Amino acid sequence: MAAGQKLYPRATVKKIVKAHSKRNVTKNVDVLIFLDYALFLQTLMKEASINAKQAGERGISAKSVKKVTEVSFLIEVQGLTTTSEYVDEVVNKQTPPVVEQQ
Amino acid sequence: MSTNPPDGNAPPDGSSARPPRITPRNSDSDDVLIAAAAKETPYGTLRQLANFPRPTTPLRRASSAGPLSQRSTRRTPAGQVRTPGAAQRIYGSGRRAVVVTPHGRAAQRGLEARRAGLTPARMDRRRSGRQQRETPRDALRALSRILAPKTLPIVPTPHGPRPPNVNFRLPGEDDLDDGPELERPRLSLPIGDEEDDDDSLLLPPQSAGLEDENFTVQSVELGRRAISEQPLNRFSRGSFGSVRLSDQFADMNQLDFDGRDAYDSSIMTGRDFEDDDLPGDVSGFPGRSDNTETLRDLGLDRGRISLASGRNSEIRPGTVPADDTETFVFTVPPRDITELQESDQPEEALIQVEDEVRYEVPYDIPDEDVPDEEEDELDDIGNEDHDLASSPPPADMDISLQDTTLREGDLASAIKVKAARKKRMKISKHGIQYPSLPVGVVKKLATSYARMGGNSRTKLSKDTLDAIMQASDWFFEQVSDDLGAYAKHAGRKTIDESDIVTLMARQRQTNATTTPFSLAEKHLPRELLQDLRMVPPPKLKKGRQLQRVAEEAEE
Repeated sequence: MAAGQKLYPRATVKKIVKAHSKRNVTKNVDVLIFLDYALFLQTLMKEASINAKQAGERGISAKSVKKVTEVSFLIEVQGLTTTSEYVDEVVNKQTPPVVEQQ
Repeated sequence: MSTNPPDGNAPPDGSSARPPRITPRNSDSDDVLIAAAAKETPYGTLRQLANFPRPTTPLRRASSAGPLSQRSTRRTPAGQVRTPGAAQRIYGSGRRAVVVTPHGRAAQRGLEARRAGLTPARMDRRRSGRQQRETPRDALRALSRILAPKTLPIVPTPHGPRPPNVNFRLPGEDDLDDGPELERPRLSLPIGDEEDDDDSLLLPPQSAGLEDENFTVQSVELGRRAISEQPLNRFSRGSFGSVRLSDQFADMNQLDFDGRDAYDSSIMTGRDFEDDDLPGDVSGFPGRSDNTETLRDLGLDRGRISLASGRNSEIRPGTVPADDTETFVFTVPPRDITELQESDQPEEALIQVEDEVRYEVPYDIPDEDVPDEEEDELDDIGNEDHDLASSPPPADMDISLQDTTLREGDLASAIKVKAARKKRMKISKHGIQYPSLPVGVVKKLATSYARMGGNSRTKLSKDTLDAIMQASDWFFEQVSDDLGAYAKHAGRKTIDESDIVTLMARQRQTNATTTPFSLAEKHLPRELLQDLRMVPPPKLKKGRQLQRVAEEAEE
């Protein structure tokens, strides 16, 4: 691990989560969230490097990362759909009126 | 046998092919031959009928017909199952099979039966009238038969009572319509209610007509702005601001001091809404310090009213050129405001609803915002563009021209704004802006993990990094969604440690042997670990969760 002076901007993580979930975040949750993110990134890089090696690439290309991203997200989504709470959430969820201004 | 003579007659009349076929059959078995001959072709049989001597034909035909029908039923029950057209074809094939051997015929029969058996239901449905009668239509018919006696009387009863009432009332109502002040209807309660209903019915068309007129006017104006709508909200607002100011100037011409006050106040409101980031413009205005929120409202209202008037008549701006130039200077800030934020419209909208001039409102609503640093940058860009765009138009004096030029400038600025926004801020589905993780952090992490993965070449290209950033954005979106769902499920408004612990368990990041703590020790620096340890919950909460699970299991 690159400890450095600061591993990540805690406020930023909080902001991100807050913006997406529209809920407040308790004080130290962001640490665990970032831990989760680090684990995610680890698996992502591992899978991407495996994928890159299979494809005979040197290093890790964006392509392999994207492929792995798709797969991992499919898995994640599948897991989500099986979770009853998430289903409830989805059912109850109201689609936001106007989302993107980009 | 008896058929031989007709057959003998037939060959000369009919096709030459028939006699040879028939004769061999006759030698084999007469009955079969008869049936086959009769069925060979309808044409042939008809011709034979026509050719036969009249007295003899009926007898022979009758004798042959009896066995034929029996034969046919025996031969091909499957054929009967099918539609007549299909049956004929099948007969043809069946006949040929018969020619070969009786066993072949039986086999053919079996084949056909099997075919029919493959789709028995379909065939039955098509053929049998029973099932057709069982269709919903029939059910409805039956229902109707049952209900008919009851329904028929019922239907008239409601109508029955009404018409008499109507008839009684109609004269009275007519009188009322002529002179609504008459008291009769009021005396009887039901009559009065129905009158109200009638009034309500009558009124809507009138109001609709009025509204339609207004809407048409609206639609015309909307069309103008709609050309470049999405980028436009900002533009249109900006243009409105300019129009508003100019209109106020026109008001000034009419009412000097009042108009000026309103104008200043409106400008000030814009300033206040925006930011203090544009000190030069703000300093230029004397009335700024004097502004109060009440003044803002008044100013906004006046401005809008004046807007309506200004829109109708474009003559005013031309009268005061100097004012127009000033207005342009002033207008710059409001546009920026509008550009920056569209989300705050509702608040303004409420105020506007109160205003008499509602139609103009939606576009020129200035928004109250606390723009972020990035937005400020964007604003500056937008301002520059606006200044460039706005400077030429004042000479032209026409409001419409000014608006169009301004919009063009706004388009360019909007594009820049978009580009600038894409760089940093994104907007979640909840409409909240959020930053993404700094690239440096992600890169450092990703590189270290890539090394751990055994890839000696740890350099990540920019594309790769972009892909990783994208993935991490998605990750955070997904995770925050899940966390929010967990928190909501738990009836909490804040996301808790327990949520993320649960989530990690579901992600299979943690299991019986790996606890979030062990993972944290692996991956996180000590400072963060300390923060984690400061908070006892994870383990405790895990324990609680286990207890809960146990309880649920017991239940």
